Amino acid sequence: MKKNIIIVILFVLNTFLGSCITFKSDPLVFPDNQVEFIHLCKGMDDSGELLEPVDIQSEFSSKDEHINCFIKLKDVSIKIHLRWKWYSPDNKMVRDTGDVIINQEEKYLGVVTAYDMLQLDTEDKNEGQWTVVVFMNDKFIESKTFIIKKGSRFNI
Amino acid sequence: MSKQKRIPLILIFFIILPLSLTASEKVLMKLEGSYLAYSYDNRQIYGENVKFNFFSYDVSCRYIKIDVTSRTFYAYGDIVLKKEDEIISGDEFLFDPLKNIGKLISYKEGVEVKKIGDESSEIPLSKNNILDELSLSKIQKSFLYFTGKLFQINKDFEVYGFNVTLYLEGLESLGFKKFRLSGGINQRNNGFSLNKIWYTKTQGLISRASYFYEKENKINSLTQLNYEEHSVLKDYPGLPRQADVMSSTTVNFNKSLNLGLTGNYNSSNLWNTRVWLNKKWGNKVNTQVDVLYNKPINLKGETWLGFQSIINANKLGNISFAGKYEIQNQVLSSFSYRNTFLKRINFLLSSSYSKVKIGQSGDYSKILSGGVNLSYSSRIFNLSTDYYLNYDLFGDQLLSQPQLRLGLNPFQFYGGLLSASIYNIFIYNDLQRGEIHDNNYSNNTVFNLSTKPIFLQKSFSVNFNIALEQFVEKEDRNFTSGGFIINVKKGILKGVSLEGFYNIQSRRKTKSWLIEGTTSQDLSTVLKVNPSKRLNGWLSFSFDPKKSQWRQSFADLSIELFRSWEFHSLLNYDFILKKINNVDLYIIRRAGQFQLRFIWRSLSKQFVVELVPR
Repeated sequence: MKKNIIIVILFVLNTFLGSCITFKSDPLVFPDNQVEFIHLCKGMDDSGELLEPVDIQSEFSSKDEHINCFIKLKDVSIKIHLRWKWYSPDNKMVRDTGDVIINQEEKYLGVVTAYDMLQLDTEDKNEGQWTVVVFMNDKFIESKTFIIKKGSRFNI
Repeated sequence: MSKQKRIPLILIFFIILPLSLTASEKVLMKLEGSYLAYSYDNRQIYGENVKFNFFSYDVSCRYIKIDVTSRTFYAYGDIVLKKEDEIISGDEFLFDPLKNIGKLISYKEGVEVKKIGDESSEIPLSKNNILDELSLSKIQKSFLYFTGKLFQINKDFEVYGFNVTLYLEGLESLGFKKFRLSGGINQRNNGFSLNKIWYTKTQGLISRASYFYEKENKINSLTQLNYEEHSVLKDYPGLPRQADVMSSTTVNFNKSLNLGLTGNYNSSNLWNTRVWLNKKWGNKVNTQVDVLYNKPINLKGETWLGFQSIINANKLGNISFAGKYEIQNQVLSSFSYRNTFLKRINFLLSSSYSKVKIGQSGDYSKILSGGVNLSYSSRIFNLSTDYYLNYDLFGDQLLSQPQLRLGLNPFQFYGGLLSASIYNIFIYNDLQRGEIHDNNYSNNTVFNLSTKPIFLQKSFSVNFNIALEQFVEKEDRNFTSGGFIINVKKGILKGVSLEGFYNIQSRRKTKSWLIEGTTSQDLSTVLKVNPSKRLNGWLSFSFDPKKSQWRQSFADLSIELFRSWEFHSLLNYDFILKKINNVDLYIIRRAGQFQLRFIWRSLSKQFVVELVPR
């Protein structure tokens, strides 16, 4: 029994010395990323208190009337500026929302949802890979790419 | 040396060794950030306000995401690359630090892409779904994750953290000055590594160590040592210690010529070694020669010289032959030829000869066997003929066995509602043993008819299956069997359904005018409940209509709890014994690359904790 206790003590000591266990580590700056998620979707569910994305996908067809880029943020306590930029398959910007101000009253909001919509039209031919980029307070926060299948048309 | 003196020496050896023998570290990149997190479950890194070096650039970014398994590196937000007087900025940076290539993307009036690193080459880097799913909240929901300000990724994709804090199910736990965060991604460092030292009450001290050496495309060598010290245990019934050494080395002289050496040793005096040389002659011929020495326990060692060759002659077919000779005059040889004619006719010819010592008697068993198979398959039917010959030269016994198989492929009628198939096999055996000559034959025919589910109402369907079999043989041990299964399914509510099965099987032995046999019936019902993703369960009862007796009941329930924790239970009740046979209760935590399970089994009265890799 004594032997076993000695073995256990030696192994614990070895773990402390070899792996250098410490009970006090440097404090970290709390992570500041407030983005919960960004999704591309066909529809929006407004039945609850907050909007929810419906039919999340990355491929769209000419039958769809529009594409939504939905963002969910958490722990918002200051005024923020959101901005969406949409780029066509030839890498040209085709829509810029400019700054959209959220939480102007600077209250604490546990969750914030917002979206921008790209309208489809039958006039223009725009099949290929598109990109939408979201900025917050003039800072890039995320990009999303999506495919428009052959036959899809847009009106920006 | 006495046992008491030996134990401390063994312990000191195992304690000092891991401290002194640290594998050489080749650093791929170091990440410094205000917040870095590594998920052990998913082998992923997330970081904020991060700085690192890439291709002689000092890079800074607001966020970084790394998926270690797929080697995906993605920095984004306020990207700045600095090198002497050069400063480049962008919004996204996809890069491969191993190949030193990167793609910097800026979103302005248009999308601007700039290659970083080797500009002449194409950069096959793009964002993927893994990056979309990788987020801070995903990492913080991991069962095990670490946070810190300094991480190091080595060239073998091991991840180390300095002054890191371990979070266990979201709760802050121990801190480590330096810790290997990853479990290694199936890659090894060159050199010695001590993989495991452990102590258990049943096995004593256990050590696993290995030595690995690799020179890319030239030499690959791995030697593993497993050692168990049992003398530290009280009243251990087996050997005081046991050691196993396994070694395998391959030398590639060029793409078509390899030399290999393997060796295995066990401290119970069991060992073997093998040297082989493999040569490819173009794409069609592969030849291997080898020498094997095998030393079993308490028996004389055997030395085998071997040769084998495979020839792929395309339209002329595939030929393989192998021969082994043992210096005590033992022989093993085989030959086969395989080809396909007119796309549908397959031909296989095979033969083997063995001359092997029988124990220590000095006698040899000599067996010659061979076979021919010719088969034809079409859209409607398939036909196969076999001829098998086994000649035991030592026992003077010859068995020849021709077979004929004919099957009608399943065909459908009534628009696919019904499906039928029929299959027949005829076997003839001819056995000669010295003066004795014996033969027999048998024929078996199987017919099957089944339906697709027939919907009588929107949520009410029925389907059935009928099978008939007739077996006939020379000895008159004939039998006829049949079976019928009907399955009825009814949806009751959303996510709730009831299923019923009735099964009758009959097997009748027919000899002359005598008919005897058995019939069995089974009736069972299953109630399935699946109202949401979080709840899933079923309850079944089985009933024997012949004896008008309830038999057994099973119940299964799964409930998703929180943070990937799941409760699962399985219960079995026996109506005949009137008791609960078994209850299994599980609490499972799904955590990316592993699962943690707490299990209670009533049958064995055991509580088990399992950590299962996935």
